[in-house]
Amino acid sequence: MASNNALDDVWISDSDSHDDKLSNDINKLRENHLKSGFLDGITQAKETNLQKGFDEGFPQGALLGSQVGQLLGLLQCLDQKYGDQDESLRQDFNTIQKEVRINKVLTKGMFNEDLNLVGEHPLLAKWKPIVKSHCDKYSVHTSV
Amino acid sequence: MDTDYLLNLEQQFYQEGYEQGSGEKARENYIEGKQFGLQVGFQRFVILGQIQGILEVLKSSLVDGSNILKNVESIDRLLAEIEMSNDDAAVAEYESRIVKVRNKLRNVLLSLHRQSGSASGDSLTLEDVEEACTKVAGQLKAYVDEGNEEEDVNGQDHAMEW
Repeated sequence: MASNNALDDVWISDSDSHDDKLSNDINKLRENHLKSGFLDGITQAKETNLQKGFDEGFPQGALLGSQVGQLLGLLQCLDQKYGDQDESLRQDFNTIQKEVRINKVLTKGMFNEDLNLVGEHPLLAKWKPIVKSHCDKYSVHTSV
Repeated sequence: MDTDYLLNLEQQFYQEGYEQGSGEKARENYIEGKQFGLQVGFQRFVILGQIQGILEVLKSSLVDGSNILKNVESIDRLLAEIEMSNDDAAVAEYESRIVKVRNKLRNVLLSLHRQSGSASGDSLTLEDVEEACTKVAGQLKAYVDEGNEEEDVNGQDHAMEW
């Protein structure tokens, strides 16, 4: 145990300035244990906080991903069926694939400082009505 | 002064240090974890939403009671049961269901292709679906080991820059 030396020093100490030596030893003891506590605290807290953040972020990201995915899937399938004759549909399908890429959706500017959304994500707000109007045109019922 | 006293003192110093250390960078680490959680959650669920959207379009032109519609509805049920959570049970459930969903979707798309006749050429394939998904979600092969913080050239398997 790391404390053995410090303990021995205290008990074996025989010097004239016994009190000084004692207080020195205590200081050393304090320093050592403070430091190892500090390091353990950092390590433990880092893992805990990373995990806590991850666990809170995951379901929010999952929800965003599935909403974005639904818009993408609707346009993709509509485009495959009708895109040859519907230029604006084809164009929207091409554009959405670029606009809702992960690095455009997950951007600090679209979240608050705690990385929560304030209201609806701007890209969802933009694309939902566009996708819905294509769905309406072809009588596709969607939960969007 | 006895041994108990000293041990207590040690414990007290350690505790003091521990508390100081715990507070260090707590918020930065939380935010870092949250960014990564948002990213991984997003990447894992784009495909599910996408398939849901595709099924909504397919359903609009399928005949009631047809086999294809029954298969589509069974995919719907599988999708509805997937939880958006990161706990171990939910992740295992996700893994097993996503395989079934993909296989069933592949069969549905193949049936539709056969039904429409090969003359109609380009019908949707599972590969088309996955390609569009990858464009949006990037590649996600596996979870990143937390301890491994070296930069990935691809930037996709790892936490991306926000």
